[in-house]
Amino acid sequence: MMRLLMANWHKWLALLVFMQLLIWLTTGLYFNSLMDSADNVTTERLVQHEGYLPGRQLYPVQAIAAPPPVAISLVWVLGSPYYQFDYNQPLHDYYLKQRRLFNATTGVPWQISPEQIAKIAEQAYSGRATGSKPVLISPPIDDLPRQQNPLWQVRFADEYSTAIYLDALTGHVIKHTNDRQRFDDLMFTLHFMDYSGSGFFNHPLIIVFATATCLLSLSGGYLLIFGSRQRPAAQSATPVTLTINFASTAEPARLEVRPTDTVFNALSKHNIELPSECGGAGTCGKCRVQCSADTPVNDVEHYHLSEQQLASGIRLGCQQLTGTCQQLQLPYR
Amino acid sequence: MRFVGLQFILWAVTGLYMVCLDIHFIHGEPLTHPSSVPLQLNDITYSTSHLLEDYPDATAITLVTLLQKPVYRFRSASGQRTVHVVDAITGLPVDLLSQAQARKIAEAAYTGSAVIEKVSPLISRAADGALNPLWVVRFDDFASSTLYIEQQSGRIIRRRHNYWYVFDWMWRLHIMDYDDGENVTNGWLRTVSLVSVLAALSGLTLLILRLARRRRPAL
Ligand code: FES
Repeated sequence: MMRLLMANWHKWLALLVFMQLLIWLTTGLYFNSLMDSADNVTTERLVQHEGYLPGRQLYPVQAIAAPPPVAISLVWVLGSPYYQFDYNQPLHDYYLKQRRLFNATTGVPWQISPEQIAKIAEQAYSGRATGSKPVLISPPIDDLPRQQNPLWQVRFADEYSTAIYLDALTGHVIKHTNDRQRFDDLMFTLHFMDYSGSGFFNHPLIIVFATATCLLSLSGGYLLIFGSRQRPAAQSATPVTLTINFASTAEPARLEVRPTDTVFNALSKHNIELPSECGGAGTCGKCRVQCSADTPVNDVEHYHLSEQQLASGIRLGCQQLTGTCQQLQLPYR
Repeated sequence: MRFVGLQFILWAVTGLYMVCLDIHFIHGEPLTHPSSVPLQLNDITYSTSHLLEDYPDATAITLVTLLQKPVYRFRSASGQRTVHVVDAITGLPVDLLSQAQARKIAEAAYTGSAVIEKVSPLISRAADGALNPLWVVRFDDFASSTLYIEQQSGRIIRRRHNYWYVFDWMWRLHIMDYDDGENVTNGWLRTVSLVSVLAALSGLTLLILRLARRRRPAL
């Protein structure tokens, strides 16, 4: 019974992924409707590092005392030129970079000072708060989970807890962030289930959940298409009387019902609810009623009930039509 | 409701594809290895000072090796996107890359073992309308790996393979933007995800109601 198997799976998968499903949906809706990253960081200001070069003599690169790099770039820091020697060329800026800096006028190795970092951070910030003392922090960095390079961090005690991250060697601004941006980041963390802070979405936890969700939605689709039970065509439209005897002392009930209704639905129309988890879909097997022993049995009942139960006349209320099972017994009203 | 159900299946299936395939792989990063050839500094006769005399508005200057020769790559400060390339030995501007040179660059960078199937020219148009002539080098491997090389600079600017195209479609189906996959804020997605959130919440409510309902002992 494919359908019953699916229904069973469907139930357990749903239990497993339901919370995450709700998270996916709501965070997805957030990305779609509410997120406006461009508006997040309003205190950001462009820093003008570049100075005037022509007429200035630069130190020849071959005279610099360092092994030859893969690439050399001329970078500007606060109006002065420097040579950046790259010893690797990673595809992403956040990958570990191997570099050295030299003063482009004198050719001597150069190291940026915390004072210069503070000055750049101040220029990069248009808000009113003052910056903290710059600290050089090494990864992992909470605000930048992918970053593998150490960065300078300058914090501003404004209403959104702004933080500016600057390149360890050049002091160029890498990232300007604040609580509004961090909230968006949190939404991504939730959507990608990235609770280990990898900054990516290719990890085992989400793969497990995505697989489960795939099975859940496919089994759901299957149940939606093949889930409706075939009901025999109505034999007659005249109402029949359903007689119910209760094991408890309650008076037997006689109900006027349509013969094409299932026992489950007919009883429910008269406020007698059979136990059920599936609402009459035939997948839970809980809606047992006592009929006469010769009542016909279908596949679903074979699946849920033992031979012994079937022989003693126990059937499923949602599988029996009132037309074929007009006498039944229940424990109490 | 059935329509939302269909999108539900699409979200699940496309999401699964996207989380299963490593994003760096999808971006074709393993297709090439970065150049690690050290610069031949002693060959340089045209210094940075010379360059700045000849091109006073040069900005973002980088010295790199292109086809075994040191060259300067830079842009002009007047806001052009165009990358200029000047030979660091002769000081002369370097011509646009020839087809044969593109072939050499692609072969040197490619990490696979397949041969080149085709090299064809392409003029791509950037968002600001600037035209950028490229060489498109396609390898004869299982994923039709393709490198896009800028004719002006010799840089490999795009790496594509079949998995990327599938990924791109998965992404479009995921965000329900079927033309270019760039608009995450489209109204379709908004409507369907809103309905889905309501559906999920009503499902939860039904479940709670059912569990809270008077329980009748089973027969
Ligand atoms: S099997 Fe669940 S109600 Fe009948």
